[in-house]
Amino acid sequence: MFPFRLTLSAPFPFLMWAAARLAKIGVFKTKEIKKGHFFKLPRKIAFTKFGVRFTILLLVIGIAAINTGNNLMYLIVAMMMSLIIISGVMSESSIRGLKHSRALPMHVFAGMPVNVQWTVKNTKRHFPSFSISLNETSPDISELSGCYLIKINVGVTVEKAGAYIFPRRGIYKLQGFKVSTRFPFGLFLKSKDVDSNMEVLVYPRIKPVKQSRRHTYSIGASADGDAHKASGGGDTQIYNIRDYVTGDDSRLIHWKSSAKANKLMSKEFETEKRKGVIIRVDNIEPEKVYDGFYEEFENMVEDAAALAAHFIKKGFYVGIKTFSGDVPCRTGTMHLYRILRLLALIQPVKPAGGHDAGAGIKIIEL
Amino acid sequence: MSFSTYFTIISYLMAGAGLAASSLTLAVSPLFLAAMAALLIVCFYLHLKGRFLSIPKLLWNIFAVLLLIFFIIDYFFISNLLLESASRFLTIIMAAKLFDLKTNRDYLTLYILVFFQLLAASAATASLSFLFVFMLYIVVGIWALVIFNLKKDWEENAPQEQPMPRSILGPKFFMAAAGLAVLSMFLTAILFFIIPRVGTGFLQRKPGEVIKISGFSDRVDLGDLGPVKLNERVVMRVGLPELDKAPANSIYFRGIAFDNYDGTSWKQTKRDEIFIERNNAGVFTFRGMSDMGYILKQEILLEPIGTDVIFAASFGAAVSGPLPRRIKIDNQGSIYLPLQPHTRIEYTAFSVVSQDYNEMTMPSGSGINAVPERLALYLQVSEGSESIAELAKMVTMGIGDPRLKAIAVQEFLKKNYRYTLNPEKGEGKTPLDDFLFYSKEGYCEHYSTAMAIMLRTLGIPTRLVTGFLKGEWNRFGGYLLVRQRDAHSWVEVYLPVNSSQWGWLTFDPTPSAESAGEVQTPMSVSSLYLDSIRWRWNRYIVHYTLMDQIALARNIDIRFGSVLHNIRGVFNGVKNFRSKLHKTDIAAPISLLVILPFFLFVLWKYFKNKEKTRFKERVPRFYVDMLKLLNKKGIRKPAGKTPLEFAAQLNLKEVRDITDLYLMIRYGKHSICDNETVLVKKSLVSLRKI
Repeated sequence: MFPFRLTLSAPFPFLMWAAARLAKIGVFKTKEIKKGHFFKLPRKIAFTKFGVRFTILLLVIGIAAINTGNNLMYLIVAMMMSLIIISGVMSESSIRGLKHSRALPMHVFAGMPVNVQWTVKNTKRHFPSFSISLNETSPDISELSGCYLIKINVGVTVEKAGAYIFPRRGIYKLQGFKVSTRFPFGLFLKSKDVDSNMEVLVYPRIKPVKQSRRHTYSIGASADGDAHKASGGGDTQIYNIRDYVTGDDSRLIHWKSSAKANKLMSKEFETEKRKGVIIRVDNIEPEKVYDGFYEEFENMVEDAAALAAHFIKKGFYVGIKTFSGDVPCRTGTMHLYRILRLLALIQPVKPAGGHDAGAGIKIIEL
Repeated sequence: MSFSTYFTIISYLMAGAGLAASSLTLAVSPLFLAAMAALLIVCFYLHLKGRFLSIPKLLWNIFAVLLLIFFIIDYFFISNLLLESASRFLTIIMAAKLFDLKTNRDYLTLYILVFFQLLAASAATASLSFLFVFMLYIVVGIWALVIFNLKKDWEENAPQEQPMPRSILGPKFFMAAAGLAVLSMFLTAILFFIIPRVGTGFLQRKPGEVIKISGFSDRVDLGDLGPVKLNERVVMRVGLPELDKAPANSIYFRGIAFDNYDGTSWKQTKRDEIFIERNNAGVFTFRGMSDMGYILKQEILLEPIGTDVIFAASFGAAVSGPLPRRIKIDNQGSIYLPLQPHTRIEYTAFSVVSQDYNEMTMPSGSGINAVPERLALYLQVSEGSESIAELAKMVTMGIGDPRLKAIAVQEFLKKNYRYTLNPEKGEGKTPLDDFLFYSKEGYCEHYSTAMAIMLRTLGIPTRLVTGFLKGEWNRFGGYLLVRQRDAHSWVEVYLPVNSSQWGWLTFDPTPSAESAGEVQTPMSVSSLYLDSIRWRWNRYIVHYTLMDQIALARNIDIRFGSVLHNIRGVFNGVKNFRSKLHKTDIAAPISLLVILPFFLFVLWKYFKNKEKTRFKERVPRFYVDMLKLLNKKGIRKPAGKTPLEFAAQLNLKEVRDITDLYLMIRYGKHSICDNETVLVKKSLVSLRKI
């Protein structure tokens, strides 16, 4: 009896609000509750500099009006208060009813500006949105340029480019972004947080190939040089017919086999087989981690990425071996991305059986 | 029109609004304002043409300092008035700023200066013109603020030097800005009436211009009121809330009564004043609301006319309103403020309007012998009044009743003397002799003085009263517009009013201006309408008080009280039903029937939304679910392996399918379709069975 009686006694509007919150945030799945999310305000309002001064002026004039009993000053105070109310209503109207998303390119490199494609649609029926800013809220990345849209008409979708920089390689979990406006009078910055989870895999930086002090690598005389000419014929013999990989030279496609297999098949020549290297990355964590180790480790990973890019560009078959996993020898741009994916995630490990910690990168010619 | 041109126009409109506000400060000379207006126009033209006068920063700072020094000198040594000096200072600074409008900060400074000009005007004036300037300021101010803010945001965020798109400022934008201005005015009005009014302070509004009118001081010379009656200036506005049309009878707004006539002027010889304080209801009551007449309520807005007298219809019984803590009343029934006001004052007066003496029945046996000694001063006559006494005897020969004598004298004067505001000077020694025996023409002062002296010579206590008569009915505002030309004097005669009481009765021997052939030109319709707006402005805005708020709240309560009562009735009905319900055994099942469907609906909605969004997320959750599933079965994806490699390693079709879809969604721009959703679900089900 008691819970029902309590429910009936509760004010109905509160019940409606509580039910709506429960439905929205999924309280029934406890693991998904964010801390404090139930009480999270849907909007944030912050005073701008001008807004602070405006409010102080309002208070001063209000006190003067009360002190003097001058009704015309009360009129001015009322006007200032009305501007604050209108500011709240219009700013809400601006950021409400917007559908927004961001898209990053498929391949992202650390330390390089990344174009972010913002898409914003005004789904309202009557009111345009003014002076909208979209800014990433994730603390790990640097925003070179945010997204600012001065006006979004009703029903219109606007695309705008921004630029991010991811400082390091690895997986970034973008949590969301903030939509804000100072429209109409610049008194307040009204913003709402948009949850937009996104994982971005950031490849290591690819810099020009060079020799480092700590990481030694050697390249066979025949391994370096001009890119091989994959002429697909001539004085080379077909060594193998394999599945076509994106990035392979289209002249290497074996059409007869492709027709039979009902998928693209690529010819492999003996000369291609010879032009291959395996980049061995010894990602070993020493027993005692010395100062600067991790920095050197990052440099090593970047060197490995640079080498892989260098060789693939020259037409080599490149594979990679690490203590965290391998990538077999292939060629082509897509294969490079596979290698970079591995390198993006690689971390120092302690292999069983011990190893020489100073090995670094080794290039093994095939 | 480019954005920058548009922005310039709006900013100069703001400057114009500021100049208009400064013009409301009356002490600022028109020449000064004209010079500033000319400067504004020149700057505007130069700005539009792109020709700027570049003032070096140092020069600008020196000028500002000099101007500040001038302001100090102006305040302390020239005008001695803070508001005027400040208004001039702000106007000059604003005009100078127009030469230096380059950065956003400059424009913002301009807008702030205009705002302070408006603020100064609010303290300097109570004129209706302020309302128009205020509304202009709201419209222009909102436009300017919106555009300024957009400009600022654009410059902060857009690529360098890229101009603002013109398409922002279309006709719809203007309409929207105008709509915002209207909304702001509406909200301002509501907030104005809601903001609580509390007390007054030391920085009162600057005193308005005082209209000096003769006839309302301790002494009035015969002939003082003549020039006053030529002036059309409004003295007071009298609202009669209980009447919806012009009063049928003329109302005498009583000012001061005089008892002593020295042959050329009237004086108050003995002004015994007593202080009256408010009663519990906040009303100053000084006369009983007897049954001698009916109570007339007047809402009076009185201009400062150089006197401390409060006017009310004869005879005032009580006064209320925003008046000082105490007021005074003298032995002749005149009401005074403690100090002469220098601004408009508003108050409510309650008067006992006497029964027409013609309709009174004279009690038998009452005579002059019954006059009390304290009224002897109302029998005073000056030297050389013998001829007047003879005239009075002649006029009242054969009449014994004092009231009838008074009527006879009144009628005699009305019929035998000509009304004029410019009486000719005759051979009489005194103005009164001139009037009665020689020129036989004059105006109200002559008539009333003559009647007063004639009745005094007959032994009837009489006194002269000055005040205002009637006024012009403004049908637009429902009030009487009383002007200086309505200044009047009449007499009060001490007579028996019933079998047991004697009292002062009003007599007016002056013929009406119409019957005398003097036609007063009424105000035009537009003037009346404008005056009614002015009256409302003063009544409901300038003089809006806490009492008005309370009255407003009461009105709202009364109007909506019936609606609330009905709503309360509904809730009471529900409450009664509930209490009945709880006494029965079916309360719980009914509660369950009411609440359960609601919660079931909420649950269903939640899961439906969750299911919908789950497969449309950019980072597909189904891949994570697959990994968790495999993890439970002891198959763990190494961190270094890519999803494709992991799928190849496992060599399971379901894993391969899910992985391919995952990669397409996450790294491509693929949106999952329904078929793929079904495929993923089937794959996950298959994996569970492994």
